[in-house]
Amino acid sequence: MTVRQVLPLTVAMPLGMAAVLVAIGHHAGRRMSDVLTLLAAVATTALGCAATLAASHQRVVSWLAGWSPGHDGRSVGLLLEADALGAGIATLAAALTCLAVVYGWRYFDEIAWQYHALLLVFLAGMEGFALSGDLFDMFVFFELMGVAGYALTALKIEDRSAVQGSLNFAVVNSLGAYFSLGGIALLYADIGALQLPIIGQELRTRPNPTSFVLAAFVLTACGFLVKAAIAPFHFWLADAHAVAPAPVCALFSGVMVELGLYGVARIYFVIFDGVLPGAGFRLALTVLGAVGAVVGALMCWQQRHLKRLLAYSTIAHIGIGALTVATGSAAAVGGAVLYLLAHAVVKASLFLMVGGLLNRYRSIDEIALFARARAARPLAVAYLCGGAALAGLPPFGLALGKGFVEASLDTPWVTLLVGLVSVVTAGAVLRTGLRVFLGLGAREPAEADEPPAKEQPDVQRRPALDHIGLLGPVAVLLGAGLLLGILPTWSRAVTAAGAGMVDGIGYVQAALGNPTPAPSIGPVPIWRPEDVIVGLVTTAAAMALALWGARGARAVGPRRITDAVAWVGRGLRAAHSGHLGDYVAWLLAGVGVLGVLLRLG
Amino acid sequence: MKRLRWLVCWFGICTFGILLIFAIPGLPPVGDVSHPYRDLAVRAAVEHATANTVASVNFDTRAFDTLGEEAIFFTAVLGAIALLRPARHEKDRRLPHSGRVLASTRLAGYVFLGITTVVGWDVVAHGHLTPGGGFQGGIVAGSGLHLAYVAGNYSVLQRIRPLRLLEIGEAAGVVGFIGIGLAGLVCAGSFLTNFVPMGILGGFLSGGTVALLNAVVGLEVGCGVVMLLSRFLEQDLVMT
Repeated sequence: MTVRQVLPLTVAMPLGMAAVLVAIGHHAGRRMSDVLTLLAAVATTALGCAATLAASHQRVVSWLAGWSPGHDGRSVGLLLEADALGAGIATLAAALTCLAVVYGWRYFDEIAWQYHALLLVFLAGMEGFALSGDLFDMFVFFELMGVAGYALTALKIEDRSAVQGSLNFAVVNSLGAYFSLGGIALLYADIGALQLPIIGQELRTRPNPTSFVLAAFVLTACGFLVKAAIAPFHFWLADAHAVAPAPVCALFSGVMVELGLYGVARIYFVIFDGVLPGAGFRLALTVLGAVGAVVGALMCWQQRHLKRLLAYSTIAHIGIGALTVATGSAAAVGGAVLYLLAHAVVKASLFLMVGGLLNRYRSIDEIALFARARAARPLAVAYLCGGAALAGLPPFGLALGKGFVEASLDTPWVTLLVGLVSVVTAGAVLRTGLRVFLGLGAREPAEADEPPAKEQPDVQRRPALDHIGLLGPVAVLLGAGLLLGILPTWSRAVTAAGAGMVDGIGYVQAALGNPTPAPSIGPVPIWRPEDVIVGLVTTAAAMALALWGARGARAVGPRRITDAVAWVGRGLRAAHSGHLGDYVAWLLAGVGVLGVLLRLG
Repeated sequence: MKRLRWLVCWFGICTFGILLIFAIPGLPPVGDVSHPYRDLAVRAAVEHATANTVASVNFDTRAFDTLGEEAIFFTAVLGAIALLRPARHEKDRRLPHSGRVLASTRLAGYVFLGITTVVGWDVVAHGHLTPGGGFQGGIVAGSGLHLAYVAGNYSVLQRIRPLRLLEIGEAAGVVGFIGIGLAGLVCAGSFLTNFVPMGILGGFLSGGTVALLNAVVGLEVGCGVVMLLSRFLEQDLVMT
C-alpha cells in the first residue's frame, strides 16, 4: 500500500470509528469509548504524518475509485491531493483531536460516546476538506465539519446561550455555504467539471468575461470566508466559542478557522490566480483582513468573558493571516503559515486552560475569577507564557513567523498593524492572567459596562488545576509553539509548505500526471536581531498594557480622544449584538463589499 | 440600530443582485448541446453496466463524496439525538398518545404501511436501474413506518421500531459503505473502486458496487429517519 492509496483513509478511519461508537456506545462504557476515540485519532495522526512526509517531496495525488484522467486530461472521478500544507493541516487537525480527547477524558459522562462520535466526524470533515482536490467535495466536507460543529457547540443543552450560539453559528455558516454552492454551480455550468485542477486548467485557457469570474470567486469564497471569520463574516465566531466545550474551542480556533482561510487560498491559487484581476484580490483580502484585525483586537480588549476574549483574538490574528495571503508572495504566505500554526497551538492551549478554570471555579468571568487561581502555580506560568507568546516573545514560533512575514512584505503599515494586534490581544490575555492567577490590580467595580459572563461548566465534578489531563496537553501545545521557533528544521518545513501553496500550476499539473517536485525554498526564516528586539518590545508593551488594564484602565490623555475611543468601543460592541438578523445582514453586505473591492482593484 | 441593519442588508442584497446580473451573460446559453461532463458520465455509466447514470455518478465515479453526504446525514441524526436528550431537570417524558381513530383510517393506515415499506425498499433495490436509490428509498421506508402511529397508537409504533437495533443498523450503514470502499482498495488498488462483476446493463444484478452501496445507504437512511423522528415525537416534556 502506498501513501497515495491510503490517503482516503484519513477520512474513512475516524468516520468508521464514529459509526462503531454509535453502534456499541450504550454497552461499551466510558473507558472503552475514550480509548477507541483516541485510537482512531492517533491512527489518523500517524497517517497524516506519513502523508506530510511524502508530500513534502512531491504532491500526493489520489484519484479515487480508479477514475484517473484520460489522455484529454478529463475525468469523471474525483481526487484527493495532498501538498505539504494540506497534509500538514490534516495532521494538525488529527493531533489536536488527540489532545482534545485526552483533555476531555471525563467530559459528558452520560453521552460520552455521542460526544466522541461527533468529535471524530468533525475530524473526518476537517481531513476531507484539507485534502480534497474537488470543489464539490470541499463543499461536502465543509458541511460535514459544520454539522458536527453545530452539534458540538450546543452540547450543553441546559444552557440557553449554548443553543443561541450554536444557532448563530449554524445559520451564518449554512448561508455562507449556500453562496459557495452557488459559486460552484456557476463554475460547473461554465466548465462542466468539479475537480480543482481541471477547473483551473480550463479556466486559464478560455476567455471568460471578468464579471463572470468575479462573481464565481466571490460566491465560492463566501462560505470559506465565513468559516475563516474574516470581517464582516466573523460575527458568529465569538458566540460559538463562548459556549462550546473548551476542547472543541481549541479545535475551532486551532484548525477550523485556519481551514477556512486555507480554502480561500486553495481555490484562489489553483483556480483564479491569473484569471481574476490580481490587484482586486489583493485589495479585497487586504482591506477585509486589516478591518478584521483591528475589530478583533478592539473587541478582544473589551471582553471579560475569557473565551470570548480569546475568540476575538483569533479573529484579529486570522485577519493578519488573510492580508498576508493577499499578497500572493510565496515567502509571505510561508511566513503566514508559520505564524498561524504557532498561533493555533498557543491559542488552543489557552482555551484548554480557560476551560480548566471554568470547570474548577464554575465561572468564566474575569472579575468573578479575580485572584481565585492563585494557588495554581504551574497553570499560571503556562497561561502567562501563552500570553507572552501571543505578544511575540522570542523564541516562540509566533515571533519568528511574524518577523518573516514583515521581512518579506517590507511594508511599514503591515508591520505596525501586526505589532498593534499582538500588543492589544496579548495585553488582554495577560491582563486576565494577572488578575486571575496573581490577583494583581484592582477588582473592578461591579458597575463595569459589560454584564458578568456566565457559562455552564463542561463537567459536573471540579477537576484540580494541576491535573495531568489539563497540564499535559497544555505543555505539549506550548512546547510545540516553542519548538516552532527553536528548531530550524521545523520552521523551515512549515514555511516551505506554506510557500508551496502559491504554486497553483504545479498543483494542477501534478493532478494531471505531470508531477513537479516541490518548489525549492527561497529565503528561510531566521532570527534576525531586529525581530528579537521587536518581539521583546511588543511583549513589554503588552505587559504594560496588561498592568494598566488590570489596574482599572484609567483613562490617560486628552478627554476628547478618550471619549472618542470609548465611543468606538461602544459602537463595535453594539454591532456585535448576538442578533442573528444583524449577522445575516453583515454577511450579505460582505458579499457586496468583496465584489466591489475586487472590481475596484 | 434597526435602520442601520436594514441599510447594511439592502446594500448587500443590491450588490449581490448586480453581481449576478453581470455574471449571467458569462454562462453558456440555455439548451447548449456541448456538455463535456454529461458525455463522460454517460460513458462511464455504460462502461460499468449501470442503467441509472445518476446512480453511477453518485455511487461509482463520485462515490467518495456520497460517503461524505451519508456522513452528513449520520451526523445530523447523531447531533439531533444528542441535543434532544432529556436535560437534567426533565425527569420524565410523556409519550405521545393517540385520540380516537376511525376504523377506516386504521385500515388505510395499516394497508399503506405495508405498501410504503415495500415501495421504499423497492426504490432502494432498483437504485442502480431506475430513478431513486438509497437516500430516497430509505426516507420512504423509514418515514412510512410512522403510519403505524397515525393509524394505531404510539405503542404499536414502539413495538415495530426496535430503536437499539435501528441505531446499530444506522451505524452498520456507514461501516458498510467504508467496508465496501476498503474492499475496493484491497481488490482493485483504489478506495471505493467498483470491483465486483458488473453484469449486463439493465439486469437486476448489474452495476457492481453501485447496488451494494445503494443498499447500505438505504439501511443507514431508513434507520436514521426513524431514530430522528423518535426523538422529536418524544419531545412532549414534563417539566419538574
